[in-house]
Amino acid sequence: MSATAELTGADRPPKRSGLEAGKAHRNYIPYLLLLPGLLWLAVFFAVPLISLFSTSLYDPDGSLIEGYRMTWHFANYVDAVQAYAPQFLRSFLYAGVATALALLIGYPLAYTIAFKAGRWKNLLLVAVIAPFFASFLVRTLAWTTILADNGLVVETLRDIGVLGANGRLLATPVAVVTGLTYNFLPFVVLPLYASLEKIDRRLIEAAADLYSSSAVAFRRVTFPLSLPGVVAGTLLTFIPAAGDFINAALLGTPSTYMIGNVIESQFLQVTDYPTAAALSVLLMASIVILVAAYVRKSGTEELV
Amino acid sequence: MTITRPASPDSTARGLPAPPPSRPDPVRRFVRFAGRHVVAVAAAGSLVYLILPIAVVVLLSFNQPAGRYNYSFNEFTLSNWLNPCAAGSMCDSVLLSLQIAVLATVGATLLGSAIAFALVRHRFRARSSINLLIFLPMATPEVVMGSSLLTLFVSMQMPLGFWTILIAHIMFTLSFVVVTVKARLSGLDPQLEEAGRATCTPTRGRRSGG
Repeated sequence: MSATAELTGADRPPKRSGLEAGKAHRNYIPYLLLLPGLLWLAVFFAVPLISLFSTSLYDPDGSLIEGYRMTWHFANYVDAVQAYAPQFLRSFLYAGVATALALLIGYPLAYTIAFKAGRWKNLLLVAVIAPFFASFLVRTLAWTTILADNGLVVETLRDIGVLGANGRLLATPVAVVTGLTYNFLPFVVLPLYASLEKIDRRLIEAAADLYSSSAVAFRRVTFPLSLPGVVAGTLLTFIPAAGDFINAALLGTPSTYMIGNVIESQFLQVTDYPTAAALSVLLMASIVILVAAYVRKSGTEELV
Repeated sequence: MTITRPASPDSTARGLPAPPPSRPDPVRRFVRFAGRHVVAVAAAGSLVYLILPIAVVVLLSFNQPAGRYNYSFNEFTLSNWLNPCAAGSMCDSVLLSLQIAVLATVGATLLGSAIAFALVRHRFRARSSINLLIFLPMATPEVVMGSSLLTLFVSMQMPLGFWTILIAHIMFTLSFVVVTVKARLSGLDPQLEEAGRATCTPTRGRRSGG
């Protein structure tokens, strides 16, 4: 135990019997360890959230300059949903598709790194983390080059007839989902790899000894044991993807804007704080509800 | 204009011996290889998807843009690499990024590890509400956390800048530190620490053993 804790404990007059005193001063330690971090979260996370919630109930007729009056104006929520329901649905749709795609694309990669990579394992892990060394913005902008109308990808797709003669990828939902999937793919691969790596190989060998085909062994042994990684990876993708606004802003058009774009512009350009706050609270509440349901259904405590 | 015909039907039509089955053409050999190693091929595809944008960024760094935007390759140049600080406040921004990153890492690691240690090694009341407070920032989209912090800073009339950015970054990352350190600590045998405590002074035992 740390010196400060020992001092604080020693300074305290013993409240209980001599035998219990030692235990009592030890009880201080967890609170001392918790205090700074929790204080940080309380001041810079909980308090702003509460103030965000109260902002969402301000009188919408006010403005940033004149100030807002607190009028418990719950109609802000109704107005926000009525005005921005499409963006809300789009956010969850794009985030859901991107999460599913990231899982589909990430699983083979994580599986290969965990089971087949041999001495290439570390190199491949570095390759998975490599995107983090370039800025999120720069990587997303790179997709505007890759998916550009005169780029290789679009021309190939036009040649083989997937896209029409004037078909394009940039500024379509495809581009936004591609960007989202790409940006959060490492968050799927790394937890999946961690889960797969922990699996006892003898279990898979035992399945083979019992005449299971490799497909059945995967379905009945490997995949269930990798579920904590699946849950962590999908959450780490879905949550930021649902609130993301960079991909939709850089790779999409206003018709592909997600709720993050609306919140960002309401806060920074329109400066309609009550609407923006109401949208933020709604977004957060719906994500927390979805995540809580998902975590309960998947029955894992790994993330929390 | 020449028309290339598929090779094998042509050769059989002329009555030539079919190529030996052990050496099929490269395309077919690749297909057979891919069939046998579906997972590895899919993994290679994923890797290309991950690396492609970075390759594009590297490629465009040698580009002399035709107009204002650096979106398509125009002409090879080294000028971007020779004077990286030329573009406006580029180097100041990089320096600021590094400062924020280092300080936020140190701050979040210290605060988060302390919380993780308390949660794993000590039993006390309010554990579940503390767990909730740790979990919520991870379940909240950054745009919500950022905008709510903005309303706080604005209402406190705090000037936006270095310190507000640093505060926000520590808050964003704190929970991830707690979760990661907690997972490591709970996998660690407490007896190791007991052993460390038996052989060293208490503080040294914690530093090297826990």
